[in-house]
Amino acid sequence: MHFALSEDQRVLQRTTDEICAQLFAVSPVGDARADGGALRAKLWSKLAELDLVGLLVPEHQGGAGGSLTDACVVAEALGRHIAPVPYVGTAIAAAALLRFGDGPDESLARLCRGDAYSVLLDGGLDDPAGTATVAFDWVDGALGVALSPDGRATVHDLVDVDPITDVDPLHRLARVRPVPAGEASGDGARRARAVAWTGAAALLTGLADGALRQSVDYAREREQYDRPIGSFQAVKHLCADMLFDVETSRSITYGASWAAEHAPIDEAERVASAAKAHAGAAAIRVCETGIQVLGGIGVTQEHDAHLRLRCAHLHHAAFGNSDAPLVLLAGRLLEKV
Amino acid sequence: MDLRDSPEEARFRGRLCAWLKENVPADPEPAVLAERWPYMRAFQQHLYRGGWVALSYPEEVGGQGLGPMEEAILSEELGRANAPTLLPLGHLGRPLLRYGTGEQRRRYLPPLLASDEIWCQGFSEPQAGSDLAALRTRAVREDDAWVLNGHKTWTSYGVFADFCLLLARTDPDAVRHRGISAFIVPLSAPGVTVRPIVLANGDEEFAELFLDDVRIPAENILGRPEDGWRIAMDVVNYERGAVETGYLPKFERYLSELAEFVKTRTSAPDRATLRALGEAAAALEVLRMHCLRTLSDRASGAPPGPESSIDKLLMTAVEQKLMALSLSLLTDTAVPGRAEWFDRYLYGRAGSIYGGSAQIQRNILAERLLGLPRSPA
Ligand SMILES: Cc1cc2nc3c(=O)[nH]c(=O)nc-3n(C[C@H](O)[C@H](O)[C@H](O)COP(=O)(O)OP(=O)(O)OC[C@H]3O[C@@H](n4cnc5c(N)ncnc54)[C@H](O)[C@@H]3O)c2cc1C
Repeated sequence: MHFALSEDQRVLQRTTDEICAQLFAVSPVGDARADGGALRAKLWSKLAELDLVGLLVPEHQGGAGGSLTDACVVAEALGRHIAPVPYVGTAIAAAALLRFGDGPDESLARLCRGDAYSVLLDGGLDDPAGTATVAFDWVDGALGVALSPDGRATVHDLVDVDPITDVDPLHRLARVRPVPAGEASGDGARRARAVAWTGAAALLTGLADGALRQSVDYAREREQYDRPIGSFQAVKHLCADMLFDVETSRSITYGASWAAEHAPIDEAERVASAAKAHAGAAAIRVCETGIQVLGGIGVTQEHDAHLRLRCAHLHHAAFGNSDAPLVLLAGRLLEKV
Repeated sequence: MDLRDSPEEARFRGRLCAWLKENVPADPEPAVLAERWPYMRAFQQHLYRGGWVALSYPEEVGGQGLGPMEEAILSEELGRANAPTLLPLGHLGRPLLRYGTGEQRRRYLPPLLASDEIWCQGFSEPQAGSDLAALRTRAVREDDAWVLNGHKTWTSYGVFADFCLLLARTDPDAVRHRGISAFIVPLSAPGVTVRPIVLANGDEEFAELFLDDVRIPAENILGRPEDGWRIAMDVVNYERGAVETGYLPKFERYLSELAEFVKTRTSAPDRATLRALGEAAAALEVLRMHCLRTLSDRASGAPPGPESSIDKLLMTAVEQKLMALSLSLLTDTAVPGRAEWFDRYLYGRAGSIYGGSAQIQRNILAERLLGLPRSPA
């Protein structure tokens, strides 16, 4: 048993961080991110070129044959930079559904080459029971993936696409013509859901980590009463609470990144549930606290703190909010005693 | 990253599970400390004789010569087996192992690890709580003895203990952290008075120690004179980890008990109850993974540092969450067990005080890990 990331995974982390840092200067403005189009496309093609979109896809199906831990390393780094790409939707959730839900091989191969695939959810961003109506992490030209009632992942052309103005402008949603969808009951579909939960948890952890770093840098620089605000204990404790949330999210998320892929399905679901619920709540707390440390500038459009908080809310809501994982955990507990 | 057991770990786990199956007592853990203490101690002694205590200590001092991952497995399986709570004193062997002379390790460690001799931690004083360096207990060298005078307080298990790892000032002129030394003090020494203090839940879990001209042999100093602060920081870093203190299995048992309570009361719990149970389960899962990560980092041999403050805050958060859950479930005053859970809840309030208060842990994280400037004194 060992927990730490491998040397290769550290390189992956640095690479993703560097690409994002180049594209999205840390300057506190949403411009580059909010302009969407060009930079999003540039980052996405870079990720595809480096084989990072197809990390979860086995080599014989055209992918990079990486692990979920690898994909979480990338998702965390993207979250740190609030990168406006559909990585959780396409490279993690849709890829997992296609792979574990027996989706068509050629879709997996196309996904690895950088075609965008949105997962189809219900109006509450939960797993659809009956019909799926919303494309999550939607981009222009994306195809949709849903679990069909026969339990297999099915690819759909999206029809009547109507982009939704929701909380996060960087990770978009679109209403689409409803497609029939089943519940995740088979082992493959359950594993795909555990993987999606874990991927969202990784992005959420990254969002929180970015907020923490930004706050700590700011608290060291910004002076009031002739000293850095970071020397006031009230501010220190806010930062310490953020660190606590970030590190505990990291522990459970990376634990889940292993379990969701390798552990027996019940355990996989248990750990992934905890990761999604904890990292989601933690990221929202941390992004809110980050705004508090920044003061006035934190609540303007001149700073990207609001984009971070928006992104945290969206991904906390995705795949069933914190409700679905918590209810699952409670159910398991009650079965056991 | 690989959370599978290695073949050796799997064999270890297999042997452990088989042992636990035969050896976990069937009678429930007594609620009152006076009865719980002998029960816990007996199990701990039995566990030691089975070869399951001090796994990561070297064999020559009574340990098993294994590593932190085996400690993690032990912690997990004790929880699954519903084993009695461990004595939360595992961390007190660490300073003896690290700073003790050959003779001290041989003399003190085996009976400490076997729970044949009980140790306690004499750091806090009436004037020195969070600000431990303000301690006033004096140790003066006289020929081949140290003479101790002072007053210690909040000494956990002081009433049951045979020895105390005690901090005293040896150089009154040195500033604060310097000038403090650590001593091995037999509580049977003339001049030591132990007065129990009753916790809010009724347990006589800790004590005050009065030291009046207590003479101990010169060799009872641990480490060099003035090593006291380093030793103390080492002890608290270990104390702040959930595995060393055996709390993980205890919390798992609490959670199962609460789930069982829900199950016996209703066949269809409402959504709010499910969410609350789920949150407690998630918190424990986070703690389990965080401990695994911490121990895995420690496999490289490094002792814990300031990052153990995260473990401590997490442990406290999990305990207090479980206790809040128990209160929210046991709202009916006629329900048996409500008063016992309330006592556990009261005890849970201590989690954010002992081992350094939650505020002190945050100071450490902010200054030592995040590098924020020190607050003006
Ligand atoms: C159950 C239990 C068991 C214990 N066991 C032992 C033991 O075995 N051995 C031992 O030596 N001690 C033991 N202690 C003592 C424990 O370490 C102290 O209680 C603790 O360090 C706090 O000290 P204090 O009680 O004097 O509170 P104080 O230090 O007076 O603190 C009071 C309040 O002020 C806050 N505060 C103090 N300083 C600061 C600061 N710089 N910044 C922000 N807030 C601050 C604290 O957070 C707290 O909220 C035990 C305590 C308990 C409750």
